[in-house]
Amino acid sequence: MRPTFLFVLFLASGITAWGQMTLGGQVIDQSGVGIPGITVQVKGSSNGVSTDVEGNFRLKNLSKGPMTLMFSGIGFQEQELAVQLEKSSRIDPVKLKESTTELSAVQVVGKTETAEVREQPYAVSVVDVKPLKVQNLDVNQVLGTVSGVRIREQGGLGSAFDFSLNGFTGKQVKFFLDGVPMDNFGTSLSLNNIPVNMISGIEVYKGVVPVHLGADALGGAVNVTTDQNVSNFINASYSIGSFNTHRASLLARYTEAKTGLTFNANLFYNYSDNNFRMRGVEVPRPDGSGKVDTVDVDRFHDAYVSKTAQLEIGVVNKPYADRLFIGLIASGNEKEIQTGLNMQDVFGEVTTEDKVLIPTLKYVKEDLFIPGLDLRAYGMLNHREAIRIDTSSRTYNWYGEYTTRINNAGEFSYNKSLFVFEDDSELATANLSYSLNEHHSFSLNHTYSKFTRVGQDSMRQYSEVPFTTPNTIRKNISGFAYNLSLLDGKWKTSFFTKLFMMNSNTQVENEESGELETYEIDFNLNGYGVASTYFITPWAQLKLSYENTYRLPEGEEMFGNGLTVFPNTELEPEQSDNYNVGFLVSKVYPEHSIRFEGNYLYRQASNFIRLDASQPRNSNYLNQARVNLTSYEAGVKYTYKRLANIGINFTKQKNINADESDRLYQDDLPNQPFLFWNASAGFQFQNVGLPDSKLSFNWMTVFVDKFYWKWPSQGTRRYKYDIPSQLSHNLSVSYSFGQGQYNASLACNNITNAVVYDNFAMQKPGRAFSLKLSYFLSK
Amino acid sequence: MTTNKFNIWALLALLTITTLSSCETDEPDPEEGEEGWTGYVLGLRATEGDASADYIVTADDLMTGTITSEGQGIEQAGWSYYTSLGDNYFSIGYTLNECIGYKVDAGELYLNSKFIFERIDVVGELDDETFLAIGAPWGGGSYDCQLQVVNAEDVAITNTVTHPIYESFYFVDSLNEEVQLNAWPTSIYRADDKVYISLYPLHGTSWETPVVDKAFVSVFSYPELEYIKTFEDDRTSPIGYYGGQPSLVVDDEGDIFTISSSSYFAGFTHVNQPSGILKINAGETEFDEDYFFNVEEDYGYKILNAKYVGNGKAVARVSNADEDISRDYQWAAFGNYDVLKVVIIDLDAQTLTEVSDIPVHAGQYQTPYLLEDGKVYMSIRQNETGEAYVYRIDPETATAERGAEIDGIELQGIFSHK
Repeated sequence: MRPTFLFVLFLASGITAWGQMTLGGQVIDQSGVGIPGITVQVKGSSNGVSTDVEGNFRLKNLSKGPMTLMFSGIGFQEQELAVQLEKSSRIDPVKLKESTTELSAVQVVGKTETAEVREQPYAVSVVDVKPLKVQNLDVNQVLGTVSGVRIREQGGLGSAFDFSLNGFTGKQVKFFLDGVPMDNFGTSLSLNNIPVNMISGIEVYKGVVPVHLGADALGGAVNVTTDQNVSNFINASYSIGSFNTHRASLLARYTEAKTGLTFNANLFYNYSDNNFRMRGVEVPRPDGSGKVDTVDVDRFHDAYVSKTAQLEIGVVNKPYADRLFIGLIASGNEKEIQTGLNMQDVFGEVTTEDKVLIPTLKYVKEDLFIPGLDLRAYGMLNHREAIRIDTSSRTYNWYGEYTTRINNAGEFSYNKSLFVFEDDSELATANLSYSLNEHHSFSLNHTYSKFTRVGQDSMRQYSEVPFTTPNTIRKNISGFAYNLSLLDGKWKTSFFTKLFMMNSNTQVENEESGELETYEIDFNLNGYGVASTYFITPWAQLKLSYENTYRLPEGEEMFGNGLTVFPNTELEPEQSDNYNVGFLVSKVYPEHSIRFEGNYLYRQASNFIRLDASQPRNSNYLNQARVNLTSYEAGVKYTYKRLANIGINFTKQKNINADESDRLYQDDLPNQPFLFWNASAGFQFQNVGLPDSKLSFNWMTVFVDKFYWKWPSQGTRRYKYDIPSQLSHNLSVSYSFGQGQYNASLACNNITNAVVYDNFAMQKPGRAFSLKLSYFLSK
Repeated sequence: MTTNKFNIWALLALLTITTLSSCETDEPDPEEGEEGWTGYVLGLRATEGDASADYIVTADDLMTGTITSEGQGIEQAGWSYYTSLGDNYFSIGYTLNECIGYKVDAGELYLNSKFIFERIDVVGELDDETFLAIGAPWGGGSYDCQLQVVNAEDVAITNTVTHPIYESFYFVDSLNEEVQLNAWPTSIYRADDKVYISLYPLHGTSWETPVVDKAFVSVFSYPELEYIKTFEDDRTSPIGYYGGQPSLVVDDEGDIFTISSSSYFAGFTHVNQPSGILKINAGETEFDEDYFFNVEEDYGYKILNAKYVGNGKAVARVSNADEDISRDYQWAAFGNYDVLKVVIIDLDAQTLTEVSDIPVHAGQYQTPYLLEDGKVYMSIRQNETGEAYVYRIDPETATAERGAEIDGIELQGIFSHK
């Protein structure tokens, strides 16, 4: 693969400088402070951008010669500026005058970055996190408001969560942080650990994932982008909540003005007892009859602590690199395990520990050698040490009382286990994109990854321990895309092809002899697709896409997590044909704006990889031979001035077993929510009490319809294990002052204290309060 | 007025329809079902992929149609063992430690009650109201078994005695260390004031079976469940094997015939005795020295489990001794291979007749036999075809008739409900 990649790189660099130019600058107010959200547009074209928090902007795809830039924004007088463009450059700061006619009749023509992403040919939902920053939310809660998205958490802080997007779940949906895949960050650094105030945007791709994200995300991708534009800042936050939950973060960036040398330091600390109340759990009576009493108890062995430090040093805006950073992530967590997949098996001593150390390298250079040629590269090594401790001979009940067992099984496993394993992974990804002109652009991406696990279990003298010899998965994924923009940007199309290569070398237990044998698989697969979008009117957009693609199994899917998820080293890549039709309306009036988004997705998947949670305790990933997935989703959001907004998202899915040879042909896949919606409303008041302050109230209601744990067609409905329908309401009140420097936010999740579940009726926390204080200083 | 009246009626009708249609349609409705229903209650293992897909279902007839969990039957949390006592049917979780008791009302199963246990590995009837459920130590390091008396109607453990089934097995391992072996219970039979429990010695952590040169039966008192003695015989190997297989066969006179498999297929790692049948005369606590049916030597088969059917005859599952020759195929009798045949054993005449109507097929855990009107019903699955059927066996003629198709893997419990 590497020679091909280098060859194309060579080709690309050989192309003469036909490329388009860029123009950067800053918009400031009369006092010299950068103004965010100002629309900068090339007069007479649709080429426009919006300024960032610092007031910076960058226009791309400009032609050499004269042009007029228009600056407009709420609260400022519109201004024009004539520019003669000779080469890509940066203009002097543009000073805008404040308008006397406040907050009225502003027609937004230029797109915000959020809108830009939303208008790509891909089916993408973009969460504009700016309004959310003042709220006391974590990323999962924010994502939960996106149509088609459903997050299934197994419990409190630190518990595993499963992300489902249009019927694709778990690893079928990939997560990226600033375009970098998060697969290998380990459990300590998950999305939920990233404070919302560090995030500038969240893109949720449904179905086709753009080549520049590079990975084999089949069901979609979530790209979380963090704010890169602020050169110096410090952000400290602390939240305290129910169940002795503490979360602290300290994020800081310092840029030396002269040298451009930049330091980033991010520290996170999370702790929770997770001792929330379980309602209606069964506790065996002390009389030895085996009969149970149904009681309400607090969880007693579910504490979680995680600590993460991320340090980075690098340079920005140098001739050789726009950004060049080396970094180190060190992270560790300890988690007590209270239950298996159901609430009957209660554990009192099972724990897991994880430590990861991740050196990273990031490189970004726009206009590399020639204008319009951008390179982004990323590399990381990941060393993880994990311990799974299940060595107790005690059987606990929900009161935390125990008896000593007659057998030598562990609490969780059939045999006591002290499984220590090390994962070593490597990841290198490079993305090269080139804009020939405003009509044609190309991007090329290559990702190489390697995952190795080796482990030992000192408690198992007789039975074979998996991973005593290293198990390895190697992957190479290449993608190439050609983007065509026609009819003045009204019609954009992307053609792409992806090449997937995988080699795995694993140990598989021979069913008869019980001995481990080497199992090697090699795959070379080719996918392709097209995505197109057309603006019927400037505010109404139609999207269509088709993709034939593959997804290679992940390390955790093949190797398990050492305790609750069993390995399945014989997993095969999943193939699917994905069809998508989307419709987007975004209409802005002087005082109102309304946005409607509708999507229909149809997928025919073979070797569909899903988590089989049909066992009461453990689960493992398996290939479902053929699955047809259909998803309808719609979302509408209405905003009145900046004062109030109301929105609703609705998703209905049908995931059908399409394997004609299977006795469960045409049955719905088990253990998958298929109908859910959420509604939210928010009100913001300016200057309440202190000057430059904001007070906001936000309400969110989430509904998930009942679904079955096992195949729905089997058994009488009356006695089927189900996950009952659930409705929960969350409310938060936030107050910020000092132009957003100080924030305080009080949230109440699950106000009505409803019993909410996941999986095998696994209960999640009831009513919970949290208070978050944060301080943000930038310059 | 008329219009108003009409509207009220229409509204009432609408309400009724709405109420009816919003009702759960699967509630057992005594009016609809047949009073005095007779038929069968079955433990159906429906799928293998989702390993836990067990359903307890009813069937009017075992000889026609298809036995399926499609839209019917009660879902089980995981793999289960099944047993019955009177009109109580039990699903004993293998992966979830819950025993659920079911009853039948007018042809519809309903949940009676449940209890939670630590382990249950073998069950046997004690009297009309109770059965004994023995939990064996898993994973080594412990030798105690839990002898749990379960009241069928209450679905509750009424008494638990913790005691080893037998604790005198020692074995010198390759490191020259003396290792104590577990005694794993395989079958239970109560006669008067005694409970007979067959067993096999097992190394707890490695599942090795180094001691296979004798057959063992332990005797406990009833109802006290106090350990009395263990008696043994060196003409054949241990009785029974893993998974609660029927291995104590009691005839009309109360004589107990014991099944020693000497079989790698049954999970033994060592074999040095012929497979065969010993006899314990009614009331005795020793083997009958004059009786030994050497099945392996006489017929070339290893006998794995059996069910007494009357007239001195039993229906049994056997493996071919020429194939059952090495531990490379350890556990082959648990479903992955077509290695078993069904035969009729004449216990007194010591003869064996193959039931040639039944194909060579796969084995299973627990191995349910249902005896009804002198005929035996079995669940027969072939890996080769992937199909499973109920077979009705006539022990007198050594013939069998293929009956209902099993939509799934196999039946783990076959009970008749009268």
